[in-house]
Amino acid sequence: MSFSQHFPALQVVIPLVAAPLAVLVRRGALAFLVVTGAAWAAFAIALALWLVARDGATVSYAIGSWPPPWGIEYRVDRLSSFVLLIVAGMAAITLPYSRASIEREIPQELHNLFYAMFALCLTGLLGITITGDAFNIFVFLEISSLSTYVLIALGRDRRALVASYQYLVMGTIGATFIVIGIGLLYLMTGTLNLADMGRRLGEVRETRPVLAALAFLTVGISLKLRCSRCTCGCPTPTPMPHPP
Amino acid sequence: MSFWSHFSYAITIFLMVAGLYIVIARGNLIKKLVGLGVFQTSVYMLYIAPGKLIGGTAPIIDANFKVYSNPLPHVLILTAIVVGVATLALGLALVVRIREAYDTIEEDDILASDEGEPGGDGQRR
Repeated sequence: MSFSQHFPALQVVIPLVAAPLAVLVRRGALAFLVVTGAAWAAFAIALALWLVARDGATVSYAIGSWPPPWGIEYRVDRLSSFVLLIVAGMAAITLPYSRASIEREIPQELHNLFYAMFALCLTGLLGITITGDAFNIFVFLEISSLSTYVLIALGRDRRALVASYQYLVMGTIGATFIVIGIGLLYLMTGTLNLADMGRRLGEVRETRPVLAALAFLTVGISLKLRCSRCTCGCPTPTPMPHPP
Repeated sequence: MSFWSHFSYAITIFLMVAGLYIVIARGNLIKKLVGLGVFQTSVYMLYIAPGKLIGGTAPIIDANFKVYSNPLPHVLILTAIVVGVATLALGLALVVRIREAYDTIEEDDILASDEGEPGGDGQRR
């Protein structure tokens, strides 16, 4: 019981720890095993959390034992447990099949770095889903974005570099807009906890800073979405262009 | 509502717009990253300035003090600075690789040198 109550933290920590491990083991095959194991562990934890939260129960985990409105809270409810299951499931299922195409696409000495970046990207996506803290969302967003830029630049076509650069510029502008929005909401409500913020927003709903914050958030999230289809005359960013 | 009570916001908005302008208007990849840095710095100002209360002290509870400054924005921005440094490092690394692959860091030249190549299968590095 005491072990399973730490599942919300382990959900994010296991892929996070797998990334430096994959860098340290240096051998491509070993890194593959480490990251695949971590992805399947994350999938198993997501499944366990989903079984708990399926009936509408909410799992709340206080990071560092700081109680929720003050500290960072990880919150698993019915929706987020389902999204966790999808994200972890996709990573766990695609990773074993990635081995063959990675062999073809990426030089042998870079394999472990590819798997490290994959683990970091998985960490970021799981973190965005599970966290209940507005600023934490930004941090995980940047973890997943930065690792995605590297994955794009790994393509063998030299235009992958330009695509990755443009993705980085647009993505950073988008992320900064999101931070501005979160900052304005924090100034108006005095809290970063999403559930607490939702309660307090009712008192200040029609004020101008809140409307500006929502505008910044909309633009920022739209920029982040738009990034996935680069329109600046450069090729569509793809992590792995097809071999000739 | 004097000028000075909004001074930090004026600086913030100036930095924000100047940074965005550099990112959009400049074709040099390094200068774009500089603009991106200025743009991110404006957000540091946006967070930290409202945390300071005039006359407020460090948040250590003591009978002599009634007004405290908010320490949380500093902690948040420390995180944002780290993220900004990581972004800048990755951007500069990408520019180095682009320079090796294209022999230029001007955006127009890069687009022009890719112009002649048919889609999807460019020059191999």
